[in-house]
Amino acid sequence: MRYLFIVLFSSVILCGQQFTVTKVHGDVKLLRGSSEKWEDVKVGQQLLGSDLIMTDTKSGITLKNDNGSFLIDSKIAIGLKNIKKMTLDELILSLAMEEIRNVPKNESEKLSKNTAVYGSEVKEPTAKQNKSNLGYLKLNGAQYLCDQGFKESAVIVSKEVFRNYPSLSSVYNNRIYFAKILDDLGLFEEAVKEYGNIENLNLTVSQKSELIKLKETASLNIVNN
Amino acid sequence: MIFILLLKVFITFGLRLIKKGWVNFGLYLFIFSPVLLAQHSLNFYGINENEELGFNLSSFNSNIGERINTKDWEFFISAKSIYKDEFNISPEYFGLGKKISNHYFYFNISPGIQQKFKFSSSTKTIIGDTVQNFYSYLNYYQKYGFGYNYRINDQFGFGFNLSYFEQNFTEEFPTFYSDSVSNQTIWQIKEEEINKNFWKGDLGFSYSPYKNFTLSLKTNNLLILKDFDKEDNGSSFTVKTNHHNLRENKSVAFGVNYVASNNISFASRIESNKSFLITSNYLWKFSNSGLLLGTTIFHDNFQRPFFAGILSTINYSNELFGLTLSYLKYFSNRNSSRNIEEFNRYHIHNLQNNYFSADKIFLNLNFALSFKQEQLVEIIDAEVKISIYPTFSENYINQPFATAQIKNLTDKHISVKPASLIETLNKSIVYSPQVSLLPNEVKEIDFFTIFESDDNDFSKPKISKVNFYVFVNDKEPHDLVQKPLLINELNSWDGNVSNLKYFLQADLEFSKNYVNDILKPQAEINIQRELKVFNMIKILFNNFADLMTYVADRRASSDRVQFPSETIEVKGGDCDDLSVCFSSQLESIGIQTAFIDYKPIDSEGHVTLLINTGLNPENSEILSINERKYFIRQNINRKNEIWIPIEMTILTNFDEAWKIGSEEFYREAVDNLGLVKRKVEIIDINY
Repeated sequence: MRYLFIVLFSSVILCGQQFTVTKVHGDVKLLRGSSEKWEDVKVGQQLLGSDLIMTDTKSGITLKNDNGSFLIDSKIAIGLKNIKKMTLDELILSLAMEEIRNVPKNESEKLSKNTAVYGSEVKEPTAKQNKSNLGYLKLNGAQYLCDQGFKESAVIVSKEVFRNYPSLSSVYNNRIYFAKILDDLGLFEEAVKEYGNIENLNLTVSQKSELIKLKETASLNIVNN
Repeated sequence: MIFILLLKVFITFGLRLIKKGWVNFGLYLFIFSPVLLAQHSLNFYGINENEELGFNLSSFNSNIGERINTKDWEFFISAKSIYKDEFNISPEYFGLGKKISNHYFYFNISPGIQQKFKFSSSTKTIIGDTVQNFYSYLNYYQKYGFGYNYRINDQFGFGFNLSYFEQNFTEEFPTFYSDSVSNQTIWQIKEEEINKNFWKGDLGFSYSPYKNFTLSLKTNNLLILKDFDKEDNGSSFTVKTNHHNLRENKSVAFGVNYVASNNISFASRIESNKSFLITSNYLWKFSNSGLLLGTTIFHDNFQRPFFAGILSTINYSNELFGLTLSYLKYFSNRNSSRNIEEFNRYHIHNLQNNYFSADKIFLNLNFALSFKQEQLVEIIDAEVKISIYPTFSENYINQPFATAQIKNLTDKHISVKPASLIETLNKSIVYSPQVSLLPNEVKEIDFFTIFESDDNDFSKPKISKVNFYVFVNDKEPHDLVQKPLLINELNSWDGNVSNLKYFLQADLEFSKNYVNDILKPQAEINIQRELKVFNMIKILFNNFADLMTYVADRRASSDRVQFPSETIEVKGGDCDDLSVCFSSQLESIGIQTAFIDYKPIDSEGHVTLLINTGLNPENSEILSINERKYFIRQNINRKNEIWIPIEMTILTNFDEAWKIGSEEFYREAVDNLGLVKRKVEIIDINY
């Protein structure tokens, strides 16, 4: 599953938000900004941070910006804005947004039950993609970011994937992988909180055992720090 | 002499003696011995002050510098009965007192404060076998008086009083003349009378370093203003009348009051002429009244034996009146006959209590002429924090429109109810939440209000008066402060996006009818179930966009907002107006909305909408393949739902407004972390 090769500067921090496509191999698609349509990617094309790249099997793309070049191999979907080195503070701010985005707890559920439901003949808003498949590719993209040292970005992407694709968020291995990253980054309180969320999933005995150990270790780290 | 007295005052006030103790009823007993206050209208009645019961008992009579507990007008009257073979009742004095803030004034008339002597003169005339006696009459009166007291603060007080005394001395003697007809020597009794009236003035001070401990100082005969010649030369009096005068010796009395417990208190006075007294009291306290028993024993340097007498007192007082019965018993025989030589040896140092005074019973009644309550709390200052926006009338239930600094004027823990009355808005007083104040605590409190905006004319801004009150379990406020208040017109807005909800709320019924008229023709068409809400949003927006024109507010956009019905009527508005109007339409049929508040940085801010489609993220693909077109929010049931940002000023069509709204939202709120950095705020509409 790891089809990523850093071509020139494996340690380069890729924080630029504008990219140039230098090489395309196989089927690589592009979703621009708020567009509803996937496009083919062409060599020499300029891409922005708000763009999303998706590679099919046996496909890949090489991108270049001021910080260097890198290769995204097959079966990966990634938003280009995430290919950057975030600071720990930026990560904490982004995690804080997870709470801010929600409806405040004191808000009442306003969707009226007695609302008359009207309808009109409209087309389905978009051409369908295989939603779960796109989520799976995005999760690959998050792992890619982690493997390349962009752990902070990987955490944020994983949060987005789990929020948008509930079926993926119920998979223990998916969740525990990114929870451990929080531990690695020294964000023990956030890690304990995430371990707590994972506890709510349907887990096997061995998974529960592992989770308890991880949670205890992280809790100890909170005390020690 | 005056200088010496004042020096003593300062020395005395420098004393710091007793540690603070717990006082429940705050009784400052002040049993006064007449011994100590020669020529003074004395308080024989046991108690000067009972703070807890709230009614004063002529404390000015003992020391005008003491704490006066009268709250407003007070009338007092006293009667006495002197035992001379039998008790004869006669009036003693009566008067009026008035307290204004920390100032207290009184005036009294004292027809009963007098003493009369009749002595046989040394002159005798023998007529035939008969010896004719002649008499001297010595009459002393305290006629009237007035005084003033000022409480500087809880600890210090001072005052002065002036009393007018009359002395009338009459002596009989024979006069002889020759009758020219009978050629006989004839005699007759002739009287010579002399009046020696004067004013007497004194100062009093008190200092209470602790609530249960008071020091006091009072002068005696500090100021004597005579309206008679110094010597009665030329008169026919056999003894110079200066010998009969009330003594004018100047002295100073130092006092200590100590409340030892809930029920027990002690007091002591010592005068510079070596007289002194000791008092103990016991109080039974009831709900709003009290019963007190007191005993005073005193030593008078001008009387015999060493302890000249004892004063027993029983008092009942409440907020309306105080009734005191006192019995003054001397330890020496006061019914024996006196002669002028004896009188001239002992003299009179005090009109009510002296060597010649008889046992007495006093009955004193004080009662309030008005029932003005004692001020327990004070508004130091009040400040109107904001102007009133009529459309946000509900807002002022939770958001204070004014604050005030108040002070607990008592030494007790009290609960205060703040209240306000905005003249043009409130029909009656509006109470704010009760606050507790520790003894003497100064606290800032909030004032809230409520009013019906429908009942008033808010077509123009206006200035109104607002009264701020503080209540303490009484019908009448303990303090009142008035301030001006700006009341804006109905369309005024303070620029706070969260307050836009009040505009949409005002026209929900209108919006609901309006929306129903648009959606009814669409009712029969069958669409995918999950998309029904989204579809309604789209239909309504397209209708809205067809009708509306985006126009910038003529004035600054942050000061005026149209109600939804007005926006529909004028077919246009700025971002605030359009967002409010469309939000009102959606909310009226149960579709959740939230304002997206793009905070102003370099230019004006911007407001647009975030709308809940009710879709589960699992179904997002039927809405859009692009995750940057929607925003997932968790509701209060921890269920994720898809919300879509709509730019309300893009009035071409729904898709374009959604696209532009999404790009703007993701750029500012998500990518640039605007939500976390508070540069962008999502304000859910909750009405």
